[in-house]
Amino acid sequence: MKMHVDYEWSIRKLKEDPSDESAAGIPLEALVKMGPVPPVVSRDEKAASPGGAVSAARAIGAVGALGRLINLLRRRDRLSLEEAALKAQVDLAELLRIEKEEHYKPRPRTIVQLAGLFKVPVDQLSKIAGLKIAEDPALEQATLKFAAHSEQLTQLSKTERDALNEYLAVLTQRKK
Amino acid sequence: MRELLGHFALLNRASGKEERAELYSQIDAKNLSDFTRYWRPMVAERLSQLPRGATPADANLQDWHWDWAQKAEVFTGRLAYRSFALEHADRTQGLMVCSLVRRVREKSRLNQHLVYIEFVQTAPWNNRHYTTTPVYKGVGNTMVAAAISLSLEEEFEGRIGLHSLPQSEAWYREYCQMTDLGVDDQYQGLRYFEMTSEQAARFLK
Amino acid sequence: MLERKTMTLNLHESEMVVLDTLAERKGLSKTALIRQALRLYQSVEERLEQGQKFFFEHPLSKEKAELIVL
Repeated sequence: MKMHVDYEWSIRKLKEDPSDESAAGIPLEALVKMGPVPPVVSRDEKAASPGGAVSAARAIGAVGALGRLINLLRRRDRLSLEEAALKAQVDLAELLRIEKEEHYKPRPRTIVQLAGLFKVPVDQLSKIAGLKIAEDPALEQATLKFAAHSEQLTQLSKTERDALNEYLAVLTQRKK
Repeated sequence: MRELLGHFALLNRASGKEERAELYSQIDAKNLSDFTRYWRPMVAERLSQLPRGATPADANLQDWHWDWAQKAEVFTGRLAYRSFALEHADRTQGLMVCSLVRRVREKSRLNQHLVYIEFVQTAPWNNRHYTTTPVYKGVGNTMVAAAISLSLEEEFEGRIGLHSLPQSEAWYREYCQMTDLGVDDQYQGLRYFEMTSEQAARFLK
Repeated sequence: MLERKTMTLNLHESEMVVLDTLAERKGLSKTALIRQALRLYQSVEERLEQGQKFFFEHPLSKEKAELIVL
C-alpha cells in the first residue's frame, strides 16, 4: 500500500495539531479488561454469538425462552415495548430482537437492565440469555416447562400467568 | 505480509524535537506483545487508581466484549481488514485496524465504499488519560493519513468513517474537519464521523 | 510495495454487463470491484461455516429474508 503523505507532511501537521486526541472504536480500558489480545473467541462464545446462539441456548434447554419470558414480564407489568425500553434504558430495537428472534444473543448490559426492571436475578437471566454457560439441570428443566406452557397472546391468560409465576419462583429461589 | 509504509514524525514533548517513527502495514506478534507487556499494565494501573464509580460499570465493559467478539476476525487475516502499527524507540506507539467492507452513511454518497476505522489508539504513555506527562504527539495524524491512503488505494476516494471515543470527538470534528453524523445507539452510544473525499484531500494537504 | 499477481478472467457477456454496471455505480475499477467481492465472499463463507445465516432486514418492518447462498 502506498502512503499519500510523507515525513515533511507529518512535521507540518505536528505544528497544526492542538491535541492528538485520536482514540476511536473501543476504549483501552475495555480492551485491557477483556483479556488477551487478539481477543480469543472460545467455541462457546462463537456458538452463542448473535448469529448462532443455538448451542448456548441448548445448554439451558429451550431456544426462545428468553424472548418469551421478557415478553410475558413486560405484559405482566402492562408495558409497551417502548415503555419497557425507556424504563430499562435499553435500545428499543434490541428489545424487539430479544422478543422476536429466538437465536438472538443480547448485550450483557441489556440483560442487567432488564433484570433490574423486572426484578429477576441477573445471573439466572444471563444463563437463559446464553451469556453464561453453566450446568444447571434444574434451571434447564424449569425453562423447558415454561417454554412449553407459555404462548404469544395479547393478554396474559391465567395459564400464562401461572406458568410465569412458577418460573419466577424457581429463578428467585436460585439466586447465587 | 507486513511492509514498511514509511517514516513519519512524532514530537517528543519533553525535548520538543521531532523523532522518526516507522509505520507498518500489519499488526504483528511484537505489537501484540508490546500491548500486553507495556500498554496493558499502564491502563490497568490507572484503572486501579480511579475512585469507585469512575470507571465504566462491569456490564458496560462486558458490552464491549460482546461487540469485540464480533471483531475477533480482524486479527485472523481476513481480506476485509487491514491493520497498521506505528513503532518508535523499540515500542509500539500506535495501533489501528480498518475494515474495507463498510458503507458510507452520509446521504450525499450513501452506500458507497469507505475505509472504516474499527479501532485506533495511541500507546497509554502518549495519552493524557493515562499519564500526566505524555511522551509523543502525532500518532493520530499518521494513522488518519494511513486510513485515507488506504481508502485512496482501494479506489474509495479517500472516504473514511469511525466511531469516536468521547475524549476525541472535538479532535475529529474540529481538527480533522470530519462530518459529525451523530450518536450511534447501535454502537455503545458513540458518535459516528465520516470524512468525504474533499475533506480527505484537505487533510492530506 | 507487496507484489501483485495478474490473472485472466473469463466471463459471460451478461456477467461482464453486471461487472461494468456495478463498477460504474460504485466508482470502482473492475479490478477493485472484484477484490471487494472477494472480501465479502470470504467473510460470508466463514460465517456460514460457523453455522450462521445471512439475512437482509427490511428497514421498517424488521422482517428478515434469508439470502439464498450459492
